Amino acid sequence: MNLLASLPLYPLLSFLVLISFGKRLSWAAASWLSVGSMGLSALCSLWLFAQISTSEVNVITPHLWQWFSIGSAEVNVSFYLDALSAVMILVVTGVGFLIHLFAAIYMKSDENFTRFMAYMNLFIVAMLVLVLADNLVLLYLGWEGVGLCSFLLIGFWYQEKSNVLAARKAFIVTRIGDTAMAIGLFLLFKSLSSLNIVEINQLAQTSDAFSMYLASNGPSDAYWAALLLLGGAVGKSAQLPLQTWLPDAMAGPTPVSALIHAATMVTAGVYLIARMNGVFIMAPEVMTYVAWLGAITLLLAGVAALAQTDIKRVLAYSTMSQIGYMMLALGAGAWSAGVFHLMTHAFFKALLFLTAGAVILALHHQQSLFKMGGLLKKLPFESALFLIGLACLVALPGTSGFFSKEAIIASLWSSPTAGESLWWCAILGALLTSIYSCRLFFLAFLGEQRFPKDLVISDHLETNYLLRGALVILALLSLFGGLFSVDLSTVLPVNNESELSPDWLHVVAIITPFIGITFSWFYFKRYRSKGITLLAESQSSWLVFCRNGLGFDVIYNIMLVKPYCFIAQMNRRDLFDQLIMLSAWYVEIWRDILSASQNGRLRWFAGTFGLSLVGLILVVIL
Amino acid sequence: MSTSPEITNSVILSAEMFIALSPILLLSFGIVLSLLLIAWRRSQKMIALFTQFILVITLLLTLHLLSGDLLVGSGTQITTLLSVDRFSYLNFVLICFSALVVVSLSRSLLKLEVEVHDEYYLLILLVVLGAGILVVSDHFASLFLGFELLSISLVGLVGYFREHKHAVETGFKYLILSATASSFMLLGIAFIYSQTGNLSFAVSSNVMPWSEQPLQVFNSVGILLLFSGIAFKLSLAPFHFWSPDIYQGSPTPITLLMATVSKVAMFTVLIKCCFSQNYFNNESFIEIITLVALLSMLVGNVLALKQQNIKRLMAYSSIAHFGYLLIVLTVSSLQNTEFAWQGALFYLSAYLLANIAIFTVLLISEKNRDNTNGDRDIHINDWQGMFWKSRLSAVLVIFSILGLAGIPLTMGFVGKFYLLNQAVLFKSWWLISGLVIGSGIGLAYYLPLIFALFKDDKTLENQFVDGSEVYLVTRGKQLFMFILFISSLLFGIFPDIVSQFIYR
Amino acid sequence: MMLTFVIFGLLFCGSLAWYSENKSFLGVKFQARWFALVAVVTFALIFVFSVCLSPLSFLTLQMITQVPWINSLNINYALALDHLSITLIILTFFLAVICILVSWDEIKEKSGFYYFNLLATFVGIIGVFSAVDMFLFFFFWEVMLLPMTAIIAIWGHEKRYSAAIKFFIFTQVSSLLMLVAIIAMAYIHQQQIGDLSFSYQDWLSLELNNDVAQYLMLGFFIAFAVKLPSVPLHSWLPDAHTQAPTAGSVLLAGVLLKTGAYGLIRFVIQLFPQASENFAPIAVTLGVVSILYGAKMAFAQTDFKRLVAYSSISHMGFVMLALFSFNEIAYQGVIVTIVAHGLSSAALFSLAGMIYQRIHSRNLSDMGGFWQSAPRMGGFGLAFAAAAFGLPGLANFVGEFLSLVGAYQVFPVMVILAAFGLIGSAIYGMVLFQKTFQGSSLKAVEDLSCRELIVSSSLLMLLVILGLYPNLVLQYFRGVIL
Repeated sequence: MNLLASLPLYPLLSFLVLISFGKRLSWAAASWLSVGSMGLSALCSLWLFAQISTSEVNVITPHLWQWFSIGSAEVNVSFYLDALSAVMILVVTGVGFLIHLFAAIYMKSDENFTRFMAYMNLFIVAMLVLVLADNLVLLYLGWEGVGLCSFLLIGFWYQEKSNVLAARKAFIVTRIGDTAMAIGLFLLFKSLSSLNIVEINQLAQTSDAFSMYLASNGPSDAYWAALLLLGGAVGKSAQLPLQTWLPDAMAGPTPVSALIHAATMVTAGVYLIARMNGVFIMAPEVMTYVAWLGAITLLLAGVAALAQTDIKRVLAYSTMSQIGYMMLALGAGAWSAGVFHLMTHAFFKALLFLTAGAVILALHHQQSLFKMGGLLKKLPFESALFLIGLACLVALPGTSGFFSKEAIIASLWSSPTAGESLWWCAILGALLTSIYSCRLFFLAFLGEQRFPKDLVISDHLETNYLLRGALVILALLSLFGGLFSVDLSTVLPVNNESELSPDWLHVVAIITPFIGITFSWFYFKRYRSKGITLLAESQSSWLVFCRNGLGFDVIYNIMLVKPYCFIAQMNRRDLFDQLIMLSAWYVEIWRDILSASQNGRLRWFAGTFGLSLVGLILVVIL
Repeated sequence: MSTSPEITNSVILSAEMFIALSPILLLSFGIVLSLLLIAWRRSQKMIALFTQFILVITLLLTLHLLSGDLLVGSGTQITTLLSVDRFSYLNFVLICFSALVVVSLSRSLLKLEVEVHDEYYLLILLVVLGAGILVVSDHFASLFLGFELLSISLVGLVGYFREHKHAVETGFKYLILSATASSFMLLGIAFIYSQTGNLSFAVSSNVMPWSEQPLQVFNSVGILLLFSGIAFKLSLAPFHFWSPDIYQGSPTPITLLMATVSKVAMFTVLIKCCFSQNYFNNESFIEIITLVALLSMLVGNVLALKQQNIKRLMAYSSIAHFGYLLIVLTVSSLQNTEFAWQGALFYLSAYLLANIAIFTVLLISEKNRDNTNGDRDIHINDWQGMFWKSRLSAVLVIFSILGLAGIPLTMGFVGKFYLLNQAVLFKSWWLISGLVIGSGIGLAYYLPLIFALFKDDKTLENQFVDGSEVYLVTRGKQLFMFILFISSLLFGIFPDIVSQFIYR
Repeated sequence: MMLTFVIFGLLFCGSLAWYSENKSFLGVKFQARWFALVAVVTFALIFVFSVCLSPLSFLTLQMITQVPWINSLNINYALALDHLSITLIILTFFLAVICILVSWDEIKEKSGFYYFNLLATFVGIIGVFSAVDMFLFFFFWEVMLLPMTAIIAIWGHEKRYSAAIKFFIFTQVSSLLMLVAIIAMAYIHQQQIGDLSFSYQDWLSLELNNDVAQYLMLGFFIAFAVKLPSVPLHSWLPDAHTQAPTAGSVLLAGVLLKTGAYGLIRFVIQLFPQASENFAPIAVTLGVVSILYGAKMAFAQTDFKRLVAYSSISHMGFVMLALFSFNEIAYQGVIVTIVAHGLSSAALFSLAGMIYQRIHSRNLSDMGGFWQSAPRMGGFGLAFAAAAFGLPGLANFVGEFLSLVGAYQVFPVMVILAAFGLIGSAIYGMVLFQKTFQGSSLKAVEDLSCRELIVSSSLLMLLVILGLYPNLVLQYFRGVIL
């Protein structure tokens, strides 16, 4: 009980200490504090997870205090731990701990080190609240909290204008999704008069009014509620149409990309949908939308990833497409498969990002793939780890990625809300994944060394065993994480139709990555073969188009940003103010007219006297 | 009030009537005495003191009468010409008080001038007498008498300092225009007579009601002409053109005299006339009143915008204020005249106090400024930073201006409150909206004036050798200003004091 | 009795501060600011204790004082309190302390007169919150205005005069309409009951026929809508806020706007329930328009204070929207929003003051990268901006959430429109924070001084406490049905 309640407490305390003492803390103290607190909560969550999975207790619900009450319904600050959230806290704290460890060394030289670690801790707190919340309002708190932290960490190097803009973009775009979600909350409360997650999931099944298709006002409440929640999820998890912020978010330090924009925060949307499965089941159309959104994102992101030149952006797009897989799974009703993939993805994507970070640091902050090459010799250790990560990404058999992705693909074919076409999409996605992974690997690690020969690989990471340890653990997790798959049947509805689907599907699914690899082995020959020094990828317009995220940014810029700014600029001097000032101006005019009549002429005075008298007399007579 | 014919025929001045009329009689007696005094010895000081003495006595006597129960109820009829009642004497108190202030202010002004000025005081007394006759008059003849007495002596005063810039011009203007006004008024009286066959206010109230009167157009036109004469004196729009020039041109105490004595007297007689003749049953008359009131509210306030010359500004603002005051004439029945009187009295006294205060300070600053260049007009920027140099006078001015703007804590607000009560009671929404808009515009020139007092330009600072020198005030004046301030604050917060005095 | 004591005591202390300006007692130079601070704190304590100790339960209006004032019109000096007014008065006292602290070093010359005006304003505000005789209410309503105008006009920034005049005229004209309505109500009472009465409690028993009530309601509504302010009557606010000295802005945004909300709750809705029910659609529309328009205008501004001013318009829109959806949840939301906005806008304006003292500019283009040199200020800036765009965990979120949830039960479409305000608020919040504290650091400013630290941290602490435990306030407003 109290153990769970105290889970977010350690990072919170560490955050408070760090933020209040700031630079006065030494590097050692700060890193011990932040990493230590993370380790503590990681241990706690491991313990809790053990409790849950050995199912001596199904749920743990510590109640802290009543936040406020909406009419009769109470909104409490209280947590809810079941198998699903147990998996999540395990991922968050476990991966979080490793990344903290990495970051403590990676960011050592940064002048604002303490601030950085403080934000990281705060993020963990918010994420834990999000995951553990037993009602949607508290979840929303965590939801916004992680948003704020991601904003802060993307803009961590706030002196560069571009980082600032990226941070702003990330925050505002996700905020759009959040607003949809907030409206969803209002709707849910109106129709179910509760915001407690468990209650909602039950009520959604039972109350007819909620799911009934009303001819009068169109689709049912369930439909709208699910759609609005989806809006929130789409925003956070960088799915279409709100995916544009994620690539820019790579402006942040690499550990941030690993923790927030790969492992944990971006999967919050997936978690939300899984959490609210009760509502989504009531709205099958919406589940189809989810599936399709996932599929389309998956493909588009894959295509975009093919064209990137920045190593981190490649990974960002791959994250997008992997989350697309998760969405696909959820949409197909393969809840546990989706969550399973979430977990494995957290492992190997964190691994990939961190290794990439190590590489980047080794090359003195060189991120362009075309300035790398031949790193296999220079950095064998990193290369090996990276290879493992990629293997999981393309789901080579045996890796954790394999199990999860297979589970997803298998469930698609015969799912009522998905179907064949989506299955083909998934396969195509797998193909793309393998291709861009190979391209990435070839460019970075094989081929001619394209960075200046005299560049000494900075090796303060090499020597650091703690850091290596963190990477190795992640690597092991991503390799064997698939083995201990969690039984989520207690929380999430299971669909056991996957047997019905024909067997050749599995074959196809398994061989797809190999097709991709062999294809790219020949297609990207020039990338991997020695002696060819390519300085940049060909600038064909198609490639550029893909590189810039398939033009979504442009469209949004023209459709939304420009008009808003334009209107704002046009009416900077408040229209209503002008109108009111108009009346003042009118009075002024009258003043001028009348004071013109005040010309001290006696004749005029007498004349006006007579005239006005005549006027009044006319008024009387008529 | 009912007057049985035999009294009107046989004119007997009973003792009671004598007592009732005594203040007016005393005043006229005083005038004669002062003439004799001048004949005996021309002394600036003596005549001034004597005038003040006369005024004080009259004031005290009136107050005594008011505190006695002689004037309770309908009051006393003195021949057909005059009738003394409570409200007329309350107004007379206001008149005497302001006249007293004017006299005492004039002394300091006249000290500057070389020649001796006995006639000046005489004329002031005559003005007060005219005003007194007006407030007690109950007959068109006495009305006209008072009117002429007032205007002629004012003409004398307006152009009094011949050597001043535009003194003569101003006097001439005033003469011509007031002559025109009174001639129109006379014509109006003639018209009314042609319809009612009677010149007494009281009588025509018991002839048949307006609706089935023969040729009521004539009557209405007559009333209109009469009204226009009075409206000229009250400088209501559209008869307001003269007032700013005359205000500016005439010496400051006389401006004050015009702003207070003549206007109060005129307004009183207007109310008496209207109420006793039930003009408020005559919808065309009400129409005219409403029209004129609206015009005055708007024109006065609009003209005052951006006005730099303080005297002119006061002129314009007084146009607006009498526009507001006309609201009391729109009462719909005799029962409410009491309330109307109360409102009018309160508003008048608020207006009076504010004007007196402002003009006092105006005069002080006029006196203390260097008259090397010809024009002696005070402009707003001459008052800049007064608040930091002489706090008392600044606070007094601010307070009076707030009063004119009708902000709480001041008498002006309570006065406005009464007027609004009246207007709401009789649902005259036009006048209400006029008042709201008018006071809205009004703030746009009252506030800058106040802000000017707070401004302190470092540039102006070094012009004055010593800040305190500029607003040099004698102890007496300081005390007077202090009393003014306290009384207006007191009446503003506890208006009951006044209203209890009104009906005791 | 104690309320009267507080009111007049504050006034007296104010005049004392004015009187004894640049005098010295026993060789010690008189410090108006210390005097004012001590006075306010003392009276605050007196008020709080006397409320806590009083046997009355303030669930309904409890008459505190009633003495005849103007007998001829049957006007009384009547003060009453209930939970609403107590909450607002306590907020007033708290912000009063903040005001004095923020003007500590800002106001150098004429400080005596300054503190007199400040205290006089507090007096007016407290009077407004506690008067139940409508004449008295109007009296205080105007009295609160005078010293505020003086503060703007004397200690304000470059365009202070026009701003002050605008502020005054707007309020004056609208409140004259209210005065007319008040008088009309008094006479209606005379017709129905027989005697003239300005007492609020008496009026509650009147029954008005519909169209009359409609007009009278409008009279009140306009006056309060100007104060709130609601589009399209808002345009005095940006100027006044921008031109006023820091304490002035804090006071305006923190409390003066709340008098408008208070008036709507106490008078418009409770005196004319039926009329306001009919009027609700229009009012709600105005609220939504204010939310969106305010957010949009805030985004367009380049002046720090002006931006915050427009953001207040947007926030007050939520109050309007929630109030006129006649719903208990929404009402609780209104209460929290009022308090929370009082704190957050006060915080932002004092932040603006701190920045102004350092760089002598309110223009956002002169700012940037202050985080580098002043990390503490940056932290607080972020927190306050976050409060402004309704970050959960800070008080504003609770208010907005409750308001919207409540209003959604009645006006779903309107609320969905209003929700776009959340996006807008995020945009201007971001602009405000990033243009000030992020980007390349143009100039170095020194970090918060101890006094400023006290101000900011106390505000932030309250925001957090109310954000995580709003029941602190809400417990007093359970089961209040409008």
